[in-house]
Amino acid sequence: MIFSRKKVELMVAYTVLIVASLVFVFPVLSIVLDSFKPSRDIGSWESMWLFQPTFENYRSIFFDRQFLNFLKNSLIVSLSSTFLVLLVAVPAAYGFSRFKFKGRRDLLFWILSQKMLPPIAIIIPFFIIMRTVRLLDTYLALIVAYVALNLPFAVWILYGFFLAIPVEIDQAAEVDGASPLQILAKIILPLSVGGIITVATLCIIFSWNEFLFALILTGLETRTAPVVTTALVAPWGMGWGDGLACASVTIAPVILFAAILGKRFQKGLTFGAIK
Amino acid sequence: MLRKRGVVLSLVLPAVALLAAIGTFPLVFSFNLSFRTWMLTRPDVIPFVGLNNYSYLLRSTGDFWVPLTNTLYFTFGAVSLELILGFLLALALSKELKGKTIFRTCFIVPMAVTPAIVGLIWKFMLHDFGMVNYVFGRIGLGAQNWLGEISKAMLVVIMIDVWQWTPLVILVLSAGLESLPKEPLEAAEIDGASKLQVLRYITIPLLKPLILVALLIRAMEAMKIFDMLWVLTFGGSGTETLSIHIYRIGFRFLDMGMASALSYLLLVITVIMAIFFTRVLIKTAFVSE
Repeated sequence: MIFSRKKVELMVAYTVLIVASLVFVFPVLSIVLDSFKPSRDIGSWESMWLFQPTFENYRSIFFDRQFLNFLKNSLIVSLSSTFLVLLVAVPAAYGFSRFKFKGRRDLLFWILSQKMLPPIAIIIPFFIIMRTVRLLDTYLALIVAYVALNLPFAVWILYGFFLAIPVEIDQAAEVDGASPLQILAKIILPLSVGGIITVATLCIIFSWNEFLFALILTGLETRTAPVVTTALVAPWGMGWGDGLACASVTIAPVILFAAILGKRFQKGLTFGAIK
Repeated sequence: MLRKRGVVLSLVLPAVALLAAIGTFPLVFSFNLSFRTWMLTRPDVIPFVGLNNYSYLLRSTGDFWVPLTNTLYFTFGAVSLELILGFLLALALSKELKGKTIFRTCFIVPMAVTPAIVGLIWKFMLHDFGMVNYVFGRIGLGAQNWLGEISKAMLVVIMIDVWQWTPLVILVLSAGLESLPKEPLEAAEIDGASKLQVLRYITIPLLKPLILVALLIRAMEAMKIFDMLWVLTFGGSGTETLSIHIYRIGFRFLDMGMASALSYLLLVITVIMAIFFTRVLIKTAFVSE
């Protein structure tokens, strides 16, 4: 059989893509699979593929280690900070997109530059300030931190979204006598629900996944899921079974939402740099 | 006019004020702190030491130049691999295939996983009895100590970053490839250009802005790397980057002043890189218009 040039090309492309997909997905599947292995079988080559599935690890993390508590902490911090971010970012992005005022470009650039901050650069002052005002190991400390980290991103993306909505719509409403706030609330918002939901989901995901600030600013009361999960497999940790189960539970919602968002997730990660 | 001013201010001010308070203020605080010595063990003693922290760091191989080299090595290695592999996979994805959505969904998976947990996943896979050594044992190469040996650890870390973030490059470039105008490509093929020539002289130049955007995003993120590395090696075996070293100085050695100084150096380096790449980006964008 003679394969046409095009067919060969396609076959190569398929092979490459399939191999890549397997490489990207396999490690994640692997730990989810292994989280159902009894502790003694994890890490032993005889039971690599054949083992007796068990919920032992999950029982352990939820009943012995109160993992639900840490999940709750992650959720509280993620949702609160995202709510605050949206509360402030939506009006700001709207203002930037509609009014050309002096210093607009500079302000926008300043906001964008906040994104470039290595988190480690502000973690030191954050820690010291929180320690001084006795806010360590509180939800508020982390919420403030996550607002600082996510606000520039949210403003920038929402700015892009609002720019795409034609000004004529605002002008039509203004002619009808609506105030800017009314225009924002009754007309622009319903039009940009999709964008706002995307930004919200991304902020929640970023906060949920955050590690460094959570590591430093939380204590026994407010520890979040990622910190607990990784602590379990530190040299002083207590075992892979629990660790894998925690990991699976922690990443499951994110993967789910990322898959649901699909293209929007991809766009968000590239910071809307691509139109 | 006055009414408009008020409206704009009330819309934008909350965000700006909030950001100034919780974003810029800590930076200023940190700047001040970088000129002092503040040991957490003696919180009441905060002597002003001028440029001592900075001059010490700039002359210290162990506390600055080595972590800097590690960070740059990591950034350069990881980002170049991500760009190359990402481009190749984006090319593959641009062919007329079925099941593109499935591939894209698979590609999203590594990016969605918490970076710290990516560290955990690979720590598990690279374990003495983990999957990787299992495969190596099967193909006869024997188990290795991936994360413990200096010769291997950094390379392994780079590969893990490539695993997690190549999909980002793939998705960025694939969006670009899809939006390329078809005419120049078809015209070139009719004129007898080979696939490779089309690629080199038309596709890549047209994609340059996007490639630079991907480069910028990944390079900035790679410079900041912490979560994944911390979980994998705690900065041992020659993988200590600037972020990890700052953490060590501040939270293990407890010298907050020195840690602040080092984080400012990191900030300066990152900003210089960003300005450099953005300049190149703007120049390219104008040239290709």
